Amino acid sequence: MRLAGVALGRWRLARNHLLSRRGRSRGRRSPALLVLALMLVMAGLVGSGLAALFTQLALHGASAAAAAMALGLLLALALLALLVFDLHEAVATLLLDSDLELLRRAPLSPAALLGLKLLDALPRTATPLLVLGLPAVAGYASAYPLPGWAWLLLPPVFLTLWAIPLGLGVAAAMHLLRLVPARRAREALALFSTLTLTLIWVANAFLLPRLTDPAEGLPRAAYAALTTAPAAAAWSPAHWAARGFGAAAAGDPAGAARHLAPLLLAALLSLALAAWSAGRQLEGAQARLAARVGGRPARGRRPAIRRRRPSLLRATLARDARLFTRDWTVLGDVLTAAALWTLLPLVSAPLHHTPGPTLARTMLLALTVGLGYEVAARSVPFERDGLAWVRLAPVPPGRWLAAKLTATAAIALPVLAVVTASLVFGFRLPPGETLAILALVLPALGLSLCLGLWTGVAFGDPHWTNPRATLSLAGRLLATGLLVAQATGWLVLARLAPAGSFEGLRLGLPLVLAAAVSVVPLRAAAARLSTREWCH
Amino acid sequence: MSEPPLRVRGLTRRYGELTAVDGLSLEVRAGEILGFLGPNGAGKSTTLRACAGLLRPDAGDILIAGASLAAAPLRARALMGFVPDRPFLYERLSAREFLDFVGALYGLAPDACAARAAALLARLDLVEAADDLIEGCSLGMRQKVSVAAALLHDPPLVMLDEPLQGLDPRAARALKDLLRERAAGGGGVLVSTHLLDVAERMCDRVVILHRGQKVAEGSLEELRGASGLEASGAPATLEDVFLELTREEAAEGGR
Ligand SMILES: Nc1ncnc2c1ncn2[C@@H]1O[C@H](COP(=O)(O)OP(=O)(O)OP(=O)(O)O)[C@@H](O)[C@H]1O
Ligand SMILES: [Mg+2]
Repeated sequence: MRLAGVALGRWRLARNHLLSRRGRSRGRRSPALLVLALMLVMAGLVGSGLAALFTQLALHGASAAAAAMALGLLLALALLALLVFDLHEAVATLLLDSDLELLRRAPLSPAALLGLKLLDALPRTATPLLVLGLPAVAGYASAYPLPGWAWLLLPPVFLTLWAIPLGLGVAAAMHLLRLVPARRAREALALFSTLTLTLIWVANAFLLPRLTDPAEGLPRAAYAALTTAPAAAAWSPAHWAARGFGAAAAGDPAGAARHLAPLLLAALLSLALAAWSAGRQLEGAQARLAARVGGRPARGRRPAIRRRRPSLLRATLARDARLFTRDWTVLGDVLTAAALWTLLPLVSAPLHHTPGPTLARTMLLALTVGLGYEVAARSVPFERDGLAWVRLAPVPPGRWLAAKLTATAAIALPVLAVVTASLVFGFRLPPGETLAILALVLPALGLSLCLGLWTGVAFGDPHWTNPRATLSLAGRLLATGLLVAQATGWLVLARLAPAGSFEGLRLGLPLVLAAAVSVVPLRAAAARLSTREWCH
Repeated sequence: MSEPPLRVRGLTRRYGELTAVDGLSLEVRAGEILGFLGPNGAGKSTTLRACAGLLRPDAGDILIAGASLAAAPLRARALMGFVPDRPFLYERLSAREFLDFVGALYGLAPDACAARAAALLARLDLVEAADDLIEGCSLGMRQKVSVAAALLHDPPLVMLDEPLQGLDPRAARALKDLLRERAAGGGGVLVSTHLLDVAERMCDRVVILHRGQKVAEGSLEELRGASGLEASGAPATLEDVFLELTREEAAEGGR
């Protein structure tokens, strides 16, 4: 291998990827700026929130070392996010990238191939560290100033933090892929990310609510949870890094070095493990994935019952139902995510004593808003290249969207119905309350599905590998913003509606509002559908 | 006189600086197979995709059996079938389910659609694989499904982008026969291909595209005459004509 030549090639590739130079295609200007802007906004929001948190800790008298434990938690969260959202990128880059055929035929050792591919994955997998890890350190530094030399440590520390989970994850994935049959390999990757989503959610749900309560400042329990070292801290690279920064803030270079040395060692070990696994497994795994999948009969086919009228709606419903149910990783992911969304308000409840109906309403709203992303946004890239039929066939975009909206509602409504029924039962809600809640939740579902469809049409990536990441990065960031905006909007609306006000108005207002707002994403989606181009 | 299945006038399409198709005019007449030839990167796929409505032209009109693709897109799309170079399929549907879906998109009555799909599947030797998920199909089988989807609604114009790739000799023969029958029935077929001997035998006329511009059009006899190769004695094949025409242009330098 001629290192300089290979490095040059990779650099060009990364540059073109970042600048989105897809040939000389026109009308598809690079979303890189949008991504960058969204990331900056996110990082800014997170950073200012965390700066407030660390200021609170300082006001409570936490030492630099004690506050470093909170930093450790945040960095651990970022690493978990890296595992959930981005490990699949690294594994997919390693096992499914289009240039693998070329690289495999070149005289490269598996370790060299791994190194190249990990570098390829770096820009695609840096987001969690950039939008959570970096702002966390900045927030910490705003309350506990770091000396100049500590800032110089930032890049190497973050690089090691990135390498540890990715190295371990890649090694684990490669062994996992040896155990599952070829056909299931992609699905195993997807399942893995659903499981880690659940994990991160659980961690998140039990930590976040214990952080701050604006009314009383930092509760005692939260303060304790944040500043005492958890049992696992001794084994957590995130905590090693945080302790290093803590020592730096206390003006103790030797202490910082003592905490950061194991970090470096762990990163080297993790990469070595990945290289070793690659040496043993990579070729086999790549070959298995590249091999054609064997024929599989379509399940659930009845001898067709012929009905009289042709119907685009019926065909779309049948197709989407088949596509969703045949992809069990996606279906499982939708159901898991639905449960997690519903439970989200519940786990933040212990701190506030919320009355049952309000809690039930909040839970249902969280689910509703989540379903827009989980079902509607994903249903578009889910069609992959099949989406081109919207343009080939004589179907107006409006009709297509209507059919698609119905199909997504057909998937989302049963989920909502089951959850509503269990909440009504669990909280013993009276019919009047239930009706009032539904009057809010159903329009909210309509709007969230419309917004989801638009994000799917505008940002869907037909070449996705992970069902949790079927939108482009810009799309995912934007979708997150939309989720927060919707949830906030509906909660504020529910609060504002005075209890004793005219019933009809209270019940009808959400519907009118949702209908009025939904027009915007639907129009945008229809416009995008009719101008979008299908190149190669 | 009734409108030809396809009439293209002054079609231009740019990608940024590059003009991929430059003022191209062509016509597919009723009852003929028009071969669309050209070197790699000549602009064949771009032209076909523009005619299928997947790319917006920068200039020019496209009329499908008289319906303007720009002014009456829905009517125009209903009148054509398109086989792209890389098929647009749903991996997790079976071929039969996929054809059902496509039939619904084109508003075919379910019975008619099922009957037509069954006939096409049989013609293309797909009956056995028809209920397997497309995910597990080979390259050639996917290509056949894509062909069946394009012919399902029996449009007056069929456009195919390198349809023979991946097909075994029997399947290639079946496809050629299908296309011949469509032409014999009064339909128009536009087919891009690199296989010059196939074009020579299958097509009534050919259009040769080079760097986005039409460099020749006509039946094989007309092309031989125009290229001046006949004068040199030996009977010229389409390959000779093709190489001659695209070489001359290449020698003249870039656009
Ligand atoms: N999406 C795109 N973005 C930029 N340039 C493109 C794009 N698609 C095609 N081109 C360029 O347009 C020109 C024509 O391409 P086209 O695919 O139409 O050629 P073709 O005749 O089908 O070639 P082939 O025989 O190789 O299939 C080529 O120079 C190509 O590089
Ligand atoms: Mg082509």
